[in-house]
Amino acid sequence: MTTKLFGEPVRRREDARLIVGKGRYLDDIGHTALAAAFVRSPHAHARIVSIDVDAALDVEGLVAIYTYEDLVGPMAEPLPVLIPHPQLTAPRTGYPLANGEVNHVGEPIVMVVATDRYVAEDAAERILVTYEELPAVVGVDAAHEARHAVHDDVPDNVAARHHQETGDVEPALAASPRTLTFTQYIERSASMPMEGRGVHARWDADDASLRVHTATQASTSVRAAIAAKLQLSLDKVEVVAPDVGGGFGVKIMHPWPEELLVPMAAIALGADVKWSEDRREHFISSAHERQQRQEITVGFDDEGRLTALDVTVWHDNGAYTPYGIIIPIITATQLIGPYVIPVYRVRVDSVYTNTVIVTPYRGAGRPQACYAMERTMDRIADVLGLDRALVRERNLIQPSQFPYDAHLTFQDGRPVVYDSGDYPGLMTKLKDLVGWSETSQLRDDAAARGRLLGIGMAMYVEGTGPGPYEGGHVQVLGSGKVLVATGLTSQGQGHETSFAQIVASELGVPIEDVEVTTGDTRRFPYAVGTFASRAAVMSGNAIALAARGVREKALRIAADVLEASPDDLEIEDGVVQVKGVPGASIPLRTVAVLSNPLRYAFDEAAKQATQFTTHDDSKPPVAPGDAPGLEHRDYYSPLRSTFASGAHAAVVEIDPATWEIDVVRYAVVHDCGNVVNPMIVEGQVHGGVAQGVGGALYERMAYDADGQLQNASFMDFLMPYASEVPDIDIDHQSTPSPLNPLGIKGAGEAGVIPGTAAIASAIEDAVGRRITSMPISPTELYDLVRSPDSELTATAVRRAGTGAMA
Amino acid sequence: MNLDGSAVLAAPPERVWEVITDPAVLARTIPGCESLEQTGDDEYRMNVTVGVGAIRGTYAGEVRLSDQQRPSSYVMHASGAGAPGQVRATVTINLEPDGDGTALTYSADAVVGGPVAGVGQRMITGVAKRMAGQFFSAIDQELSGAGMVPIESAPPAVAAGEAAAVAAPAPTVFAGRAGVSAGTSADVQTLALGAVGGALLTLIGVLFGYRLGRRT
Amino acid sequence: MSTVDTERTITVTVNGVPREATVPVRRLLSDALRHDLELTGTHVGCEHGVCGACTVLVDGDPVRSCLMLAVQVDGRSVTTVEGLARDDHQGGSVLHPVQEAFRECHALQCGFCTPGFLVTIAAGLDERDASVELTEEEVDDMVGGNLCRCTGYANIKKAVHAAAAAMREAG
Repeated sequence: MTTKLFGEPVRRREDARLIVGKGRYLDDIGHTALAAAFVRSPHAHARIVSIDVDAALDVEGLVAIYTYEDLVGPMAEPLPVLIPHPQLTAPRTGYPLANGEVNHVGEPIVMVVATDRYVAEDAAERILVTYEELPAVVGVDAAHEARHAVHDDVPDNVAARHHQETGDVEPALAASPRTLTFTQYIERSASMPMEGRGVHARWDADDASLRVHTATQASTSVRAAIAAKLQLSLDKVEVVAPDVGGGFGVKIMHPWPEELLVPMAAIALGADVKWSEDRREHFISSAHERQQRQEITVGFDDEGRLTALDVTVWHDNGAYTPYGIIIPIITATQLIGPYVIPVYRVRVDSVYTNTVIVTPYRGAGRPQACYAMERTMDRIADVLGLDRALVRERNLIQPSQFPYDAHLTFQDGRPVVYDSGDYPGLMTKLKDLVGWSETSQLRDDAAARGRLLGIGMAMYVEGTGPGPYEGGHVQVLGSGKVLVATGLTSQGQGHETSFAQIVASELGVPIEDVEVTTGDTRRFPYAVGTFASRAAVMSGNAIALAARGVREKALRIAADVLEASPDDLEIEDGVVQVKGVPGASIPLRTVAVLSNPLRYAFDEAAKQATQFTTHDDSKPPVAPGDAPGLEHRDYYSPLRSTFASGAHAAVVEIDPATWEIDVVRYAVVHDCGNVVNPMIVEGQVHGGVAQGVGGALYERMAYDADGQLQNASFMDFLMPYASEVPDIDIDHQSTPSPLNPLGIKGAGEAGVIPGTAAIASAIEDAVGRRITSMPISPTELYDLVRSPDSELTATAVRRAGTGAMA
Repeated sequence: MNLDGSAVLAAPPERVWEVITDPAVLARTIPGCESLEQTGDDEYRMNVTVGVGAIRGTYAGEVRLSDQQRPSSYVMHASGAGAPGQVRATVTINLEPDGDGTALTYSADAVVGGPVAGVGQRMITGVAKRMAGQFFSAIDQELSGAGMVPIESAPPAVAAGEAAAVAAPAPTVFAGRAGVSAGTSADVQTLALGAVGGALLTLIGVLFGYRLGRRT
Repeated sequence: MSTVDTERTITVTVNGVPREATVPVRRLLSDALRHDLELTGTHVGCEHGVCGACTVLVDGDPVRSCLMLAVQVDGRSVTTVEGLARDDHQGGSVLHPVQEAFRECHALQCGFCTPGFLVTIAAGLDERDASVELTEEEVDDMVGGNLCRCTGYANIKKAVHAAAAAMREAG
């Protein structure tokens, strides 16, 4: 049996419990806990006048009611700004419970604790809050217009002005042979994992310690936040991420008010407390992302080569800025994609609105960036009458140009330097995969069936695996079991499998012996979190390094026992043997036992390690600088992010009677360097593409002018079912990363990044009208096509001229 | 924490003072009062059952009076304890003429400790105010003549005459809600006084005696 | 005034085992299964009947347990994901072909929507003639009513085919 599993589509270890319903998600634990529910603001912007709890007191089973007045010390301070930045000049955050003012529908005001959730909601319903309503600011346009302010002391509603430039763009534009300017919008969507958020807290009064389970992507950071806010010593707080039903970014945001309040209540009441949100709560009190207004001016020549690019973005950050300006930075830096752009300037105004906060959703600003760049390339091609693939090809960074310094600063504070890639290779593969050259044939065939057909493409480069670090711990037990731990978390990415593959490969043990734990501060306390497609890159490498440390120690100990040189040894199937000498071997588990010299023999295996069994009088049992046990802890800290890339193409058919948009073909070429488990990576791409299609055609948070979210349920916020997701053709390319030992790049977000851009391009190609706002519904498409004000593409005009279908 | 409140009662201060010094009245107007017992000069003990939400149980409280200025004011010192918490409070009670009636104001300064302090300020003050409101409504009914209960024969130990004759006062116990009346000795009056303020405050103190972990 | 609801004691056969529970009449079936009977395999994704994560079988038919009251299954039989595996009469259990297929085809990632899919597809496959080849329409029917945010559905559809093939082979 081979133990070289790196790169193999190993079936997942976690599935065994998940397919029989034995997963342990947050709401599955704590059956006897008290339940928390919240009174949340029904208004987008208001002052709280009074809170009357009298009617709630009649509810049988009520235990506690908390308002802002019950918060003391750091809990009474605003929630943290997690990622400060010098350009974030007007950061604002809320309070765990509203302090006199609410700034979005859904903001928590009162926490109720009762014997169960039904009772807690009964009590919450009876609490009477009176408000003085204030004008609400909704959408980037209203925010920028600033007739009203979300925060009184930020009258222009601008939280930050993010600005990067690589040269002097205005003269460069002026000197360009051609320029074009356009404005487009992309609308708000959200991660929307199938499991909402939840927190369970248990306080042990005997040793004054707190254990919190939370459906989070960042358990170590939640731990630090809880300790700080509740004024507990860090060593008295443990945070565990249980099985988590999807995150997609929304669970990276922390500390949620609930993550602080539920532990606070557990301590105050001396009882376990649990909060498990319902779907409406998730819609109105978690986080959204994506809305931007983009104004783009590009300079180019007659061949379609870029000379200068100037982008101004208004980014909707919602009511508060707890996550800083990470998304604006990512949009700003990832916008350039795979292209050589001689001069680039980007300015992103991050503006406040009276809506739910904006924190990363898979892609985290890259879908918007891709939409900006790729639609620019489409327009250049359109104006010049050139093939859209050709224009892109003419601007691609060439393989010989790596490492490619883009002269920008990334979200990790480090320079944007593309480490490796083959963008022309992506394009070649994509055209092949989707049948780019056959499009006019496809168009004619569709026309014969009475359908409009269009094709679009989009390319992207994705910075993945930012630091500062992740760590791994690998330990071989005397039983032969190999325990692996890392601090970041899992929400379905198959870490228990892919990390086990790495250890099995590095150490030479059967994968069945390897057990991986993620996201538990008791097992690994130093970590950053799961986001930015970094888990495999960061923890994968750290775990590999830790495994190598274990291997080295194992060989050293075994070499002693086998009286051989470590160089002559290999480990396979959990047995250390002298290469080429079959009889000379020792099981790794025995090495583990021997690594810990014992006085007391607890079992048969331990007997081998006791002082009367193994002795060398000339040396101490544990050598100076060494430690007992066959384990090793190591960290991977990257110099910079590593840059994955890809290209997607979509073919759409539109029914000119109903204007329904059908994605009939979807092609993906994907490069994430070396791959640990290709089955898992492909699964990530599938899921990302579904979210890309969803974001392009179906998903939009519909706020009205008063800041009411009109579609706060799955009935009206449309996510793709199986019927909406096209079959996906995938081809791979692999340009390994030179930055980390395993040569891997991140893959988690790739699938979603170019979806909106590629589908917008395809729809525009099909109907010949300029698409300037996404997502687009059949009704909106119908209106667009009918409207005398909508812009015809030059391509459409040309096709009409030649008699071909426009 | 502070708890302030007021009530308007339908009788002048002198009359109010009389009523709220009647232990039989108190026993039936203090919400949840099971018994009142004099334990010394101006000192009383009582058992009260509270039943609101999770603040529920039977608790014992002690009250001591001071600074009595009939009929306008007195101060009460109360403490109450139960398994999960305790309270200590000082309450100033004022009676002022208000037309034909009395404006009664109380101002309590309380320290709440133990797990029960963790149920949140609004719940604590909400329950306390509600019970105070119930108490004053009941007093108001007494003042208007409603709610009088016929005097039942008391057990010998609490015969008014005997109680008056004892120098060191024997513990005098008044059953709650059954409306057993007692005599009108000065001892009884101070007891009653203590009872009303004590009821109020011990009430609050009692509310803080809160038992968690009731769920099965 | 108290808000404790009228309670009712119900008897329901869950995964072949008679279970009794005393529940408030307003208790949802999903909550009763998860918290009163401690069968947490059934998950709640939306509580308004759209996502399908809470799907269980009531008398063999897929039902949104978040849209049913527990008292409605009094005297009836319920199958949850925990009941899909069959007892092998040797002290262990045999997974339903759809469960095996899901693992084989990587048809689950976070696993939260999975029980709803498994129960629905199992019902669909069990009620049809296994010897007949599965059509795309049948697949679409079996997977079309449940939301998954992780997988993009491609592998779920593959798993349905794989399960049907396994059942056809098993004869």
